[in-house]
Amino acid sequence: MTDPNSKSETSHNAVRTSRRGFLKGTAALAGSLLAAGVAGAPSKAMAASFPGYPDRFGMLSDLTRCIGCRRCEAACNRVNNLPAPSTPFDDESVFATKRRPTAQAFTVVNRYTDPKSGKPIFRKVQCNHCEEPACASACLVGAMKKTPEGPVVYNPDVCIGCRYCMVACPFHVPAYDYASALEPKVQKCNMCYSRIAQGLVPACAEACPVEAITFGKRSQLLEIARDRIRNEPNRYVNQIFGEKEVGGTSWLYLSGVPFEQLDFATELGTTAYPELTRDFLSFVPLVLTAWPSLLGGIYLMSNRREQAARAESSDLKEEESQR
Amino acid sequence: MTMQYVEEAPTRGASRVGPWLKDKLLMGQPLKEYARGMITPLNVAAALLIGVALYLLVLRFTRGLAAVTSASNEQPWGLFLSCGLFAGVPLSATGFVLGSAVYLFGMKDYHPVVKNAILLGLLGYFFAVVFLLIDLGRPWRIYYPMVVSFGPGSVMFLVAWHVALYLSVQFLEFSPSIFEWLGLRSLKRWAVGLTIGLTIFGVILSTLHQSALGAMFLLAPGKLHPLWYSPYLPWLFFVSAIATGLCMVIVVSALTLRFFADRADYHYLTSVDRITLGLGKAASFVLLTYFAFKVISVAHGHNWALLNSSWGYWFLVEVVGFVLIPCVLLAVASREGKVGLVRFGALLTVMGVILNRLNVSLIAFNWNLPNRELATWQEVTIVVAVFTIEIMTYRWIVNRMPVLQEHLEYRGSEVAAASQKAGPRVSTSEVAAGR
Amino acid sequence: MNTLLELITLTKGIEYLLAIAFLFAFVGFWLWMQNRGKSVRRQILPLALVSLAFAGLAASCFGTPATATTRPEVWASVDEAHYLANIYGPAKFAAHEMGPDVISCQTCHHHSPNGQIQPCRDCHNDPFDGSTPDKPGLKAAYHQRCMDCHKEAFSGPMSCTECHADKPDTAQVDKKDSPSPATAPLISHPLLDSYANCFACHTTEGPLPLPGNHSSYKANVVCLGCHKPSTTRQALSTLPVVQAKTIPQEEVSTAAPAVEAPSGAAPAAASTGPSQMTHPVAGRENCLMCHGQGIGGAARVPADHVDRSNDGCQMCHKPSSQS
Repeated sequence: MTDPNSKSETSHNAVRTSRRGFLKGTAALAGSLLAAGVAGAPSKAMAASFPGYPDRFGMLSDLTRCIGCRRCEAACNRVNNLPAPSTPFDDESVFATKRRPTAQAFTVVNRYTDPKSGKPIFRKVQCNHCEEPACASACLVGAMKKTPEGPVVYNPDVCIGCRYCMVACPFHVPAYDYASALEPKVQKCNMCYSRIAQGLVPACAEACPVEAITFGKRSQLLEIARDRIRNEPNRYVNQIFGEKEVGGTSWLYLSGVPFEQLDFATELGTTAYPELTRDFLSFVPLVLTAWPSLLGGIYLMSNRREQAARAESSDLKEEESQR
Repeated sequence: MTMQYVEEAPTRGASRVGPWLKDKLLMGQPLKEYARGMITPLNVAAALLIGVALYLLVLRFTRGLAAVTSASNEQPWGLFLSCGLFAGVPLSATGFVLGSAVYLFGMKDYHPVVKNAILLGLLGYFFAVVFLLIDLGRPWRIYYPMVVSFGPGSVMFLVAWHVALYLSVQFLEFSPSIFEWLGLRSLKRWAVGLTIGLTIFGVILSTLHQSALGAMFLLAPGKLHPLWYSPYLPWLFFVSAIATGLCMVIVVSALTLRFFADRADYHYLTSVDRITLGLGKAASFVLLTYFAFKVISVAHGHNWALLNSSWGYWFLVEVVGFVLIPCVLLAVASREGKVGLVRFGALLTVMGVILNRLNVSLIAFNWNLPNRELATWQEVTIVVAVFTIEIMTYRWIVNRMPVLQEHLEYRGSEVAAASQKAGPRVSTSEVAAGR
Repeated sequence: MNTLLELITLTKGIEYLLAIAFLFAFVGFWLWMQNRGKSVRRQILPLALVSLAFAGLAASCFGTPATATTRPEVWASVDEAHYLANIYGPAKFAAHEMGPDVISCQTCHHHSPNGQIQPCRDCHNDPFDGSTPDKPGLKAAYHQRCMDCHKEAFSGPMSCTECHADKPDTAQVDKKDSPSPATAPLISHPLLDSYANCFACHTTEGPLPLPGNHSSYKANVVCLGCHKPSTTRQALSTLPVVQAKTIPQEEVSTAAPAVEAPSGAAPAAASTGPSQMTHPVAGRENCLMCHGQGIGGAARVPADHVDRSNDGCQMCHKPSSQS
């Protein structure tokens, strides 16, 4: 037999605990939601106010000058110690298919035909060294980095080979050493970062006989490009590809024909790719802080319900046994 | 065929180890008898398959991924990640869904299946990591995102951390069964005390990484077909994971009735049907929500016109055939008490989620590129083999540890109590007959 | 923050650390709230410490601005870096073999001040100098100048051998050794009669051999582009005798003096040779006084003589013996 007084005290305590639990749960929930609201998701407009590092380098490819000699491919191949290609660099048959950068060729030149004049147009393809790179946003170990000097470089010492950067890149640029079991690397143009560090020009720019590729500060290259368009408006399409695409790229292009005709990805828009996952990532700390209180509160409420139910049934049993 | 559990008298010193091992690993049988018992047609077929897969894995680790996959620079992810990770993880959502239902929401009626659910979750995540180890370019560096180099701006960074943490959480949640198997009572009590905290932490982690797997594809707007690409991808993945968790428990419970009835106690065997109906009802609600999300995603992208294309038809097959239809089936069947139909609906749901994950990560990814080779027979072999190993591991654990049996404090009827006394290996039907 | 991605990376790191700190604190808070009466200090204290540790880690992220590691301030300048093995030999500079009737010197030597023939490298830097972006570098200047007319030849990788010898240039030509007006010796004798043909004496074998870097120069008018008249001249009698038959007829002409009306139109390229004076020189040494403006019916100095002074007239124009 239990002391009636103690029983009421116990149930009184039980009620107090459960009430306290309820209040605590609600307060914690409200507080965490408020905190999350104050922290909030930064407005999208902030992306536009990121100027990037001053004096960062870029490259300008003037496709009206390119003659398709592939000296740039040869130079890149030599400077990066890549294996010799199956067809030599002066073999024209490669132009029969449209190629893309591979693990053994960081840059390739493709040939197109101008529908109006029938003349060949050549286009060099390589990493565009985006200002806000999707690959750097994707990399979970920070192996892809946008350097302050401009190039987007790859660090093979931390890469785990997940290949998410290849999924993320809107230009389909990174390539992988699938045939290597022990040292597979993500391969792409690095704008000759080590050469730039020594004060040299990237190999392709140096090798180009007609200066279709110009190396320099991105801000200055934009001016040069605009000057060229202004001085010869009949020669160029009035667009610098890479000025704003996906938030801007460090590799800029000038062309004499609309860019879609040269297999440029013109439907990408101007949103920088890190923006695409930013909203979801903002959600994460919210869950980490709100869920404990939310779920804890639910547990306490269900616990209280069960306790109350058990207390009630034990009360009933006692009453019956006492009768 | 039931196996008799023989309790051997404990002896002193080193001679205790042998019988203990025999008891724990071979279920008390002599080695020869155990080995003979293992040779069944299914086991032999599985062994052959695993043998071939092991050879293929040797190829993969000596000659690189090119030897066994058709991974290209355009399509870097193949079946290992699509099936093993992207599909495997929602199939393992059983742990957090049932865990929160039983321990957080206090739904004690579902307690019989919660340990099974947690085990399924644990195995699913463990083998997802195995698939990762096969697919990563440098799998020996899998711990790098934890301690060596951080990329916190990446969604995959979240996935890596959460899968690692969640695996630990699931292991600890399942550890009471392990400790009971090993006879370590005090450790078991300590582990049980952690349950609430682990469950809460598990729900937090699951919410985040189930949705993060979807958020990973937010970075591929041009590559993923517009009908599947949506800013709501994280939510879609999360809600479908909940539905899958519920339905996987339904499906696996049905299978346990068929294959593991002798490892289950009376309370489990008699409550599975009722639980199935309850889970089915809940799943129909979740599927309805998921279907609404899908419709809203299409509206958000204003992609109605795309439904009238071959990809659109495929999308409708997935959404109508494998989401809406099971939703209706589950609703009607659970309401009418038709357990078999609920199981069928659950099976459709599970297949639907696997299909959805395959679509997002493999089939509808790079949909606009010509001449894609999506999978090779070597990949299929390895995937099937690893899943076979997973099933065999499940079987090994269920045969030895109390998974389909309940805790003492949740004893239901007298028969269950008697069966507990008689020992876990005695068939409940024998006990009932003895009564 | 210079880039959006940097901001996201930093804030995510801080947020995650804060969230982890919160989680530990939450567990301690929960234990404290749920265990009234029992002392849980032994459990709470380590939790609080770990929580503070993570919060401290988060705070430590604030003091690490990203800095550029290598910031070359000057434009990249390549110091004759021939890292690329020369794939082709030197180009045949056919333009110098063509007569001025085919192509005037100014067509290629454009923008030369005062109609001079300036070597390309006087203005076009090797390599491209970014401070003068409208001037291509030397290599591009060569190629683009040729491309202006020979566009068809510049198309694809095989185009290089249209002009370049198809084998590596083993003999490295020292560019500093190239001909240039600055180093061109002055012409020390009048260019009269048979002495108007430079190649009569200045041959590769002959009495006065040409240096090796003149191998592509085959037209007399080209010589005059760099070699100017000296103020002190040797008498013709001191020079070796030139065989009459070696005079190429098309170069020298003793046509009748032509009186040109000062029409202002630029005369055609000199195909008739220098005309003879219609008067003796005595008393009229200042040729330009009359011929500069065409005063008094004097023939006006043609446009391509614009920078020549009185000293040079008698190199080519023979005075008349009659008055």
